[in-house]
Amino acid sequence: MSRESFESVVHRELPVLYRVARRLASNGSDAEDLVGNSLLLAAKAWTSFDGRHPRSWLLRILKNEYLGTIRKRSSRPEVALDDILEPSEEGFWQEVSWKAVGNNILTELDQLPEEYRLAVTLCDIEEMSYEDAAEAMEVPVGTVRSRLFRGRRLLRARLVGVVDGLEPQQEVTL
Amino acid sequence: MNLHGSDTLRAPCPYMEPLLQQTADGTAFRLMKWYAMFHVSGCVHCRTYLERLEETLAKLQEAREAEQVPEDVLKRLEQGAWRSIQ
Repeated sequence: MSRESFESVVHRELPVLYRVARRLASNGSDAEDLVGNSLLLAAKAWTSFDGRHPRSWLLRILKNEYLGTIRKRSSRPEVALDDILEPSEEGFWQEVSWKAVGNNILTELDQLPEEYRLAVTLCDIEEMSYEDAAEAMEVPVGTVRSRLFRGRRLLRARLVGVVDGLEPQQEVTL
Repeated sequence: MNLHGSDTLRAPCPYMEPLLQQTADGTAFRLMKWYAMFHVSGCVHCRTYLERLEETLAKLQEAREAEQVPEDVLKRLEQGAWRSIQ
């Protein structure tokens, strides 16, 4: 069976790449640069790619490119994942005013630490399987699950306004 | 009916949370899902937790549908520098 061309993979995956980049980068222009640079790297590596799970492969390149960019730029203090506030139980039970939130749910998602944001974006927005997300994130499936579950709880807590200790674009280390 | 005999909402049963998360996102298999649904039918805490999760995930999907990728951006990226490598 002949392998799909890089061009057709790019054509198919571009919307996903851009949407994920938009969740990682702080604005549309940075997201476009991030996708452009990632595609350049992917084009160079295409001949050595085994052809399996191209979406996960491209997203892995995108994620690494993003991490490289923020490491170069950032002078912000790094925060360990364990130091991130755990949402209170109260956050689960309060009603969200969806009328007030509207499409700002993505804005609230953007405030989560990157690891949680990425897990929620890949699994809940792009509807990738835990396995494919794990490949893209380069972590075990169990780690995807725990980040996803905690990310959803944090998002819910933000939506009802019970977590205000997370700063936007806070850099997190493992 | 409430398995825990309390009307005050609290966190879901700790051993149920992963199952509820997977039920909400549709990755729980048949028996797992059956067990989760059996449990939530008698546990108001877990039922509320599942409802809240499902609601949040549905809103994320709605937001995705509403957020269009700009056509001009897609065009630029399609014609980007990566083509020089091909």
